[in-house]
Amino acid sequence: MHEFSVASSIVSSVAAEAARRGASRVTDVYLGLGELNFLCMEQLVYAIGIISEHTALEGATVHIENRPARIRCNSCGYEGGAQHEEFGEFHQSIPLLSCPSCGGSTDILEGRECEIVNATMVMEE
Amino acid sequence: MHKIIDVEFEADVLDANRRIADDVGEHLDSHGILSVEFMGSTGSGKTLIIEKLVDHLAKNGKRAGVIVGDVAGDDDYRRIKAHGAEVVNVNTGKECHLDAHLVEHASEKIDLDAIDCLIVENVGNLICPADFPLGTKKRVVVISVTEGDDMVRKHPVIFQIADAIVVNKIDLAPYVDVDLKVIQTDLKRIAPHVPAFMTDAKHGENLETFMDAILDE
Repeated sequence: MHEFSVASSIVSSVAAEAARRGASRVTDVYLGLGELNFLCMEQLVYAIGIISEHTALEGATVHIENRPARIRCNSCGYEGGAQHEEFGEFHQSIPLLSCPSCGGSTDILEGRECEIVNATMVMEE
Repeated sequence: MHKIIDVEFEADVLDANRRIADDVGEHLDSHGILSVEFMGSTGSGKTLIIEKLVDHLAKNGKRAGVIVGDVAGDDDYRRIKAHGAEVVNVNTGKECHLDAHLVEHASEKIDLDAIDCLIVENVGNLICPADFPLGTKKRVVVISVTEGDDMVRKHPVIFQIADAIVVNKIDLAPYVDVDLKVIQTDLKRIAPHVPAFMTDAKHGENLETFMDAILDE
């Protein structure tokens, strides 16, 4: 449960950029969320909504793009997506970090990020 | 009149922590210190394993510094202090995990030239620490059989990103109806490349094997 502190970083970064550009408000915030981090999308959107009250982000719509993991094999050099294992009883899908090609160990290239991609701002003229 | 502008960021919010973690790691490396973080469930035996690791290091003529993270209190601090290590207590108050910034400040209170190994005990939690590397060279995750046999598949990522896994309190498995094989099968499927150690830290079973492996640079 660290959505609140992450949401706080997002709101302050976007609000600071809006102030720097002289924008009066932010209407949309676009985030990229990797599948290997532990942030819960719903809680993150909820926390951003609460924290952005009385800031330029108040009422902004938060759009989240879910990003799949990308891995690189230490043995055969495979680079690409990870296989997933479905656990019906837990309603969840677990990315497996073994190489889908040769079973070797891999490094994570992408999938742990929580990125502010862009934001739409309104400039009064 | 107003106009709408699109502002690109491409800024990773979690990256700020990773950058500090990299600095911490480089700083510890420059002092020739091996650093190990212990993550894991509350009550899994992290503190006991650290107490024994401090003793193990002392037996081999090596000095340990320990940073202990807890939401509140100094229970773990006092336990580890009694083993002669230099210990810094970090109370996170509201946060459920340590971050690299807290560890950076805590490590300033330790004379890094006077220790050989820095051990960091994270707050008991199998979720949040995965998103916040602290800059240590190795990350260990500790669970115990008393939490049930489904801990690995319930929290897959923390096991996948660890450098070593400890499944502790194996002596209690028969009393809590846990089949160790279920945990081992999950580990083989979910984190097949991470070395796993089945221990009974209280009575010392397999603990030396784990400690030698984790201290092997």
